[in-house]
Amino acid sequence: MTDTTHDAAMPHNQNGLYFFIWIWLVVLLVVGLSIFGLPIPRVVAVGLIFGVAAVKAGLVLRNYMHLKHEHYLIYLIVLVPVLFFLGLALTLIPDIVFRHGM
Amino acid sequence: MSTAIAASAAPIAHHETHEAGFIGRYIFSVDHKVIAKQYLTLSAVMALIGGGSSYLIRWQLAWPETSIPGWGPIGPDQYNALITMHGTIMVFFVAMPFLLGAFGNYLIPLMVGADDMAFPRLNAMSFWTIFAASSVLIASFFMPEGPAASGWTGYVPLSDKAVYTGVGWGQNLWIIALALEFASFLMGGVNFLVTGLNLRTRGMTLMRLPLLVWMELTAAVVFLLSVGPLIAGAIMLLLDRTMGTGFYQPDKGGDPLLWEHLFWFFGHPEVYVVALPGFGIMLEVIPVFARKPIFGYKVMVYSTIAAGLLSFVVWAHHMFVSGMDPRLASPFSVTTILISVPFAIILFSMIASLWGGSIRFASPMLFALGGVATFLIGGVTGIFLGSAAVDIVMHGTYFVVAHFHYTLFPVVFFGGFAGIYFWFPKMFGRMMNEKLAQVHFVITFITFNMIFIPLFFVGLGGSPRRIYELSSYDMLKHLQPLHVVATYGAIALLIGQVPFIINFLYSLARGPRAEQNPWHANTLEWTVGSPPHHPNFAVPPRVYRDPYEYSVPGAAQDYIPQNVAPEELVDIQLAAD
Amino acid sequence: MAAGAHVLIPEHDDTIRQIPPGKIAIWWFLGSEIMVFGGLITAFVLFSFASHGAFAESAKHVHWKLGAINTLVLVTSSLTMILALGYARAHNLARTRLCLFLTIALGLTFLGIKSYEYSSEIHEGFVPSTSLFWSFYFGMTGLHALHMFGGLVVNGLLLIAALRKAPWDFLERRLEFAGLYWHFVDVVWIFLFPLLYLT
Repeated sequence: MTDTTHDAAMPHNQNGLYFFIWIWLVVLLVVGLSIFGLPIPRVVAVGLIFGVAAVKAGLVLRNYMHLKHEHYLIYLIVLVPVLFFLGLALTLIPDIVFRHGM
Repeated sequence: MSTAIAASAAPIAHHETHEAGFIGRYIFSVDHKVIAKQYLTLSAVMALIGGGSSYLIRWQLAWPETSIPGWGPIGPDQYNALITMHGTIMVFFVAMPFLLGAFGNYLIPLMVGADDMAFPRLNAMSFWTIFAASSVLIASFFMPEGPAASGWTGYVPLSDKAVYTGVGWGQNLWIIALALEFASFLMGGVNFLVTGLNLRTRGMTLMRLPLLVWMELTAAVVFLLSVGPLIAGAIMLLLDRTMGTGFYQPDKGGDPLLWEHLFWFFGHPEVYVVALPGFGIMLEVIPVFARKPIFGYKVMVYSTIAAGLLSFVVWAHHMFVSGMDPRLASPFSVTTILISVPFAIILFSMIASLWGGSIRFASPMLFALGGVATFLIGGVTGIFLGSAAVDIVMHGTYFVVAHFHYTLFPVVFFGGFAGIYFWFPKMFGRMMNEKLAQVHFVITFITFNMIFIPLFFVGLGGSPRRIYELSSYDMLKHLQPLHVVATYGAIALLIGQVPFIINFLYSLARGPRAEQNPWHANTLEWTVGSPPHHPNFAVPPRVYRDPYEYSVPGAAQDYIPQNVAPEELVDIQLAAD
Repeated sequence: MAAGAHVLIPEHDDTIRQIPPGKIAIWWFLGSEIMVFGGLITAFVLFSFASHGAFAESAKHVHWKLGAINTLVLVTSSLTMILALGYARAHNLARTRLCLFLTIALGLTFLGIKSYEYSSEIHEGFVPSTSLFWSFYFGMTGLHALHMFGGLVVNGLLLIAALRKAPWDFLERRLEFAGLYWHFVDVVWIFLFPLLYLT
């Protein structure tokens, strides 16, 4: 099919970067696990945990999946579905969360 | 499958002739043109089953509890199964493979100037997946308790437990068949998008794409983004039915409304996935037979994209009376009325494209115009239903049935037949018989309206839908003659397809040979042989202009194909002088 | 036929044509997968709020330590997967094979731990039909595991290709696409883990 996937902007040896990101992922995993030990309200804890998860996901997306080097179209392909299912979730709140079990 | 890989071992990018055996050429072919014809055949076979079921349904409604000629009497359980399978087959196994699988596959590579789809083997796999899906669906007919009987929308709780419909494995197979069909079109959709975005030839900018390609691409995106939640929902339904989970059962903590939300979040964009390619076909036919450019190409593109986007925020208009939070009614009414705007723009643009044209009423044009006219009725009645206040009365009545047949049938069948009559010369190298085609049109047009206009009045008269037998309700007795008229129309419509079948088959074998560009059209498929050689383009074409340069003032011919360079144009003019 | 992709035409949308077709295909596929898992996650989150603590009660019986170990395993497998691509780009066949092998091994470890979790949970009497939480737990992790299994099959085929010394451009391309899928499955787990185990 077409030519190689090398992006001219990408440095040749990125292995060091990959290790570095992995360290961060492990650190964030430990951070996430320890959040429930903190004396904070449950809602805040849940928010923090998902914040940590989002950061981890972002690290994987940007560095392992090379999103930071990619064309804007690929950003759209990731972003639009996320927005759509957030929209779906929001619209379903009145029905599933509040009227549920009546 | 290994044959396919073996047959396509030679890279397709180079113009080699690789010899493939019969199986590699015709069964497991990776050539988009062959695959398109496979989709066409599949949708034709499924249309026979879907159409046959509509015969049984309509007879039962007109003359309840009589023995149907050629079949025998049917009971309420069978009726429910029939309406379920009629809907499922027509939407998923006729409309989709016909408009996207057949026309999309055949035309997208040709229209963008490519030799094949971006992923030919994936293309073959997508066809065989829907073949498997169809086999599973047909197998469900032979299950001991019969096929699915929950309506094509599969609402819970009816579909959630086998004991409610009395159907066990038939319904499970229905879910599996749909899952396979979704997988097939996910594969196909990716192929369409990559081909349309990446494989365009030199000079084919996005704004020079034929509108059919825009429609198919938008449909692919909409499908890709909308089907996910329903796949999730279908998994949950299958788990409820087979593993005793309670995703949709209140006593286990679940919620039946969740299914409706997940289904329609996909279901509504889905009907636009079907409608847009149908419009695309009409938009290719109209300029050719009016010898005029499409009015407002750019606006059309933006309207198409807007319609695709808006289609994601209207779904709850199917749920106004479902028991959902009433506060959702107003926003969804607003969005539903809003979405009529891009569609109105598309339809008005089609009409404006006709204005002042030199119109030739050949069969493709007749069907395209018939499609526009009947879709208008469908679209307008949709506006009534989009208003929550009206829908509270009209939901679940025959008014809805008539509305959606007035949208789906025009795009699938009027659009589809227009496409067949238009591209048959290209696909098969022969011309169809024009007189038979016109007979086909007149019968189809008249009988279609004969079925569904009465059904609007049946709905307005208060008759619910999906009921096996309505004549025992005193308040509905006076509507029975309308059902009879509709049934005569249905029988006539089905018989009226015989001229088409005869025409198609006869012309395949004995039709007069078609020239390269019998309709004098501009898009790239008309610059290659009828049928195209292998590979499509001996030399990759270069595109210089948009696809709708018909009757350009000062030009010698009334059409200028997309690959005509400006220098050549001067030659044509000089030669004509 | 990528005829257009090689020619420089000063048309503003040509940058799209320069994205390798396989890459854009994988991303479209991942986009639709986001919607599938998104649908399930949406349903879970909403029911969780509606359950007024019942979900949190049930979640206490999930083995969060095993889940944490599995998260570590999966994240590490993402590292080895991307390293495989890095080494492939450096044309280092031995290390490419090693990293692929490690990815597969880690993936199998994940599935092994998951099976152990499932069997002990079933042993304790928690099955999909026990309660809505458990239905989601088994359903979502099951779907995720199926995706992992698919990824393992693909990676296995790639390892075989690497063992047979397939050409570099074949390996690099396929490794990149397989890697995108693998990382996506990892990202899904990054969200599933806190969702099911920690809340």
